Amino acid sequence: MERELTAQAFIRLLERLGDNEEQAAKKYEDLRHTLIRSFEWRGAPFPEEHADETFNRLARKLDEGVEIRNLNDYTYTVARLVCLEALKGGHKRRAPLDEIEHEPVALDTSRETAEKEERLNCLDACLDALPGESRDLIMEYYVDEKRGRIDRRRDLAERLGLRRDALANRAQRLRDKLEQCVTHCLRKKT
Amino acid sequence: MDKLEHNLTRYLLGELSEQEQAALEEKYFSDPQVFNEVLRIESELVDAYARGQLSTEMRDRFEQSYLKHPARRERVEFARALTTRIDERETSPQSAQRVSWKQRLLAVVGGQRPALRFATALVVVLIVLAGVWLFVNTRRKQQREAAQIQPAQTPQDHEERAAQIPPETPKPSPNSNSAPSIVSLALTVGGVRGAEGGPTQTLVIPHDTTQAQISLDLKDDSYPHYRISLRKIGGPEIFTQTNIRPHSTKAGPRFVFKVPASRLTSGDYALTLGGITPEGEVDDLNKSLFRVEKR
Repeated sequence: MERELTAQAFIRLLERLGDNEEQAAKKYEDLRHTLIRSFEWRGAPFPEEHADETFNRLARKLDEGVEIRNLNDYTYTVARLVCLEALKGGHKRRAPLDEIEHEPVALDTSRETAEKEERLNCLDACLDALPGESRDLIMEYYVDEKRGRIDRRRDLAERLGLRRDALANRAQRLRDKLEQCVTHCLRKKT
Repeated sequence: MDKLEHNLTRYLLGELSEQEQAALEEKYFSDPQVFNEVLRIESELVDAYARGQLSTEMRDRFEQSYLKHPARRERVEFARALTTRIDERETSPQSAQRVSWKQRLLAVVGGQRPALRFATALVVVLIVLAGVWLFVNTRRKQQREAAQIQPAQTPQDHEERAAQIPPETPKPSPNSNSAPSIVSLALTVGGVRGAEGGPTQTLVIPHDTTQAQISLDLKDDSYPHYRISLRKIGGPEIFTQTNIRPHSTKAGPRFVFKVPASRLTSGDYALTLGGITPEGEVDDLNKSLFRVEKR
């Protein structure tokens, strides 16, 4: 089923995603992000691999000359199929990490504490690597204030001269970036 | 919690029917704003869990569904670390001191004693009045001096005058006989013309025009850099400029650029503005449409 993807097919996919390289690359990244999160939310075992598989199938369809009117809709249709296959056990040949981790193990609090400490160190390093303005934004945006949060975010948006939804998007992008940075940092350490 | 938020929370907890899930997914695949909304709700939910703020019932639902997936458990661990750092900062003594300048000033000048507060407030008022008087006088003096040495038209003057063309009067103003002849068009970010159904502005370019000057007013200048591009609709790109900054004018931040008239042909054009974030990402800010008529 998983035929190899030719370079030509992939180029055709990129061409379909944007008028120029920059546009195509951005669209590809955005769509990949949507796919990965979608697979995660659906509980599919290997979201990144499923996203790549979706792109492979999409590229092959384009290469075969299938007429695709709305790329986003079509991508979703393919992704849904990939997801259903994955959930039905197409990927059961490898046990996902959660199954392994769910085995009852003796609580090792010292290890847990060390991991937490390590994560915090990584987070500090990643926060330090952000530009000051971005660091302040994320620290202020996600502050714990149930009632004052709306006012606080409105003030923050006004101060930065942004619409509130633009501020929310920027904060979310920063958060995603920070999370990725922490994940890389932890992987490097292990 | 509104209906959409409630629905998105149920989606994240795996509580929607297959049909409802598919409908929502279809929506966020075609509308990035809906996708961003799901991300936002997810972050809020995860943060609330990390801070121990979910109700018992909600926490149980969260643990039974959301935490089943390893990537999502990682997300919760990240949220724990992030909220720890944010909450530490908020409760630190330095943070407690983050009060407005007015409060700080009051605290410094008066403390709790009313007589002293009154006296210091009076001194502050006198200082402010003296400052205003000094500023007004200096300004008048500068204006008088400027009037005495009014130079002939300089390029700066030209730009300043162009900068003052109100957006409502975009009609071309070809300079009489002098060369180079320039026509101007003033656009405003967030204006309703063109892109959102209002009358499209027209830049009339007479045959002897050498340059077209286009200005774009920003309502606010909140990005470190910008990207701007001009493209003929259905035709070629005229130019793209990246990492640029607006000029400061009396009317606010403004981009002004000149295009050789020979590069513009009759037709519809789109001027697109993007804001470049400190991380190098580009937020689409505005698209202004206008028409060029060459005569």
